[in-house]
Amino acid sequence: MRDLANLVITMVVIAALSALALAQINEMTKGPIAENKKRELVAALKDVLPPFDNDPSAEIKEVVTGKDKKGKDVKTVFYLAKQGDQLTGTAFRSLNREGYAGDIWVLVGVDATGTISGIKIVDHKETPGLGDKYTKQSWYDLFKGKNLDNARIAVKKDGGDIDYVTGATITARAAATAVKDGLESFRKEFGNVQTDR
Amino acid sequence: MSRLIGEFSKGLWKENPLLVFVLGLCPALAVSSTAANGLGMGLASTFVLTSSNLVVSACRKVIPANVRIPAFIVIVATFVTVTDLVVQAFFPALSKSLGIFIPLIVANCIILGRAESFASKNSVVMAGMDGLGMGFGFTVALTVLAAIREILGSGTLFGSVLFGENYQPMLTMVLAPGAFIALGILLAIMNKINAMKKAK
Repeated sequence: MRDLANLVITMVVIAALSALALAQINEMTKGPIAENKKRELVAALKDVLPPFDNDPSAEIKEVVTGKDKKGKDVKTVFYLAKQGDQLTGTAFRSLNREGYAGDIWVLVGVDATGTISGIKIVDHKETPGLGDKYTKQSWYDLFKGKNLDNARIAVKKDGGDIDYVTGATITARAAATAVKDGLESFRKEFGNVQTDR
Repeated sequence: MSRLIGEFSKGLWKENPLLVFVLGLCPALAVSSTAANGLGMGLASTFVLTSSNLVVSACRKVIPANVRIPAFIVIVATFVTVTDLVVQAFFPALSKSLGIFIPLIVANCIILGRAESFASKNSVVMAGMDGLGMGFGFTVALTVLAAIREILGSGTLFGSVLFGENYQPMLTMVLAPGAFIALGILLAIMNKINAMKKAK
């Protein structure tokens, strides 16, 4: 009986001390971790959006853009870029699940007319040295200035305008599709309006 | 004093956890695609190993033998979580490149292995030196492995481009097969050197 009590007390004490230590460290790192995430987002938004003087990471519009397999609402966050009171563009994340190794998330920035001002692949699991050849500004630049009306946003192999690397087509295709789907989703929500909504 | 140094230095060559005990293969193979990642992972593992060795040794007389494994695991997991949070907060670039392999340090056999076979049976100071030595041995082996893979597989070292435009990297080296091949060659070289030393 005394052995059992010994076991229990030891484990409880160890667990309690562990919990205390973790709670303390969590408190101390919460702030810097949130700041890092915000800094990353702000830098990415700066890369893909037209010029702005507000804080797009804070001015957002959350829209239900569809339903997932379980019937729950799928929300997309639109980051609003403004100059003064004028909406100059917005950025949003678009997902394509058909990457070579899974989900690819692309941050798409458009100006107020729905024309791409910049894109950035923000999350992927593609093969290093192959699929990740597209995570370069030179590939992102291929999308600038395109929209659903003036270009075919697909890889050249599929009849589109976007270059790709032989042997790494799937990644490019998935990323391009993510951009195209994102633009279509944007058009549905915002139309081609210039004014603030 | 020489005993202390002995406990530390055995982990560097004679009892190198990666190249002699062949432990910690999972993180070693998975993150050694760049030298910076190898070094980062090695240092993070060294911190966890040394801290858990110290705590396990300090508690060795009060932890009942039949709950020692769960107790060790809670201790190791606590330090791993601390490391994960600190790296996320203050070294975000490293956190992004190592990804889930930092939390996976908890499954690194070296750590539980040293806790059970050494730290729980030796003094705090010895356990600390063992942790540091094993950790540094692991770090050096991992960084060398990663450097080889990075130079051959990407043509860079710690991110600096080494060769000219026309260098075609051996892509396999940064993928899984290359990891096994590079590690195998390292083990073979290590064994050969040890055999030659013995023959002297």
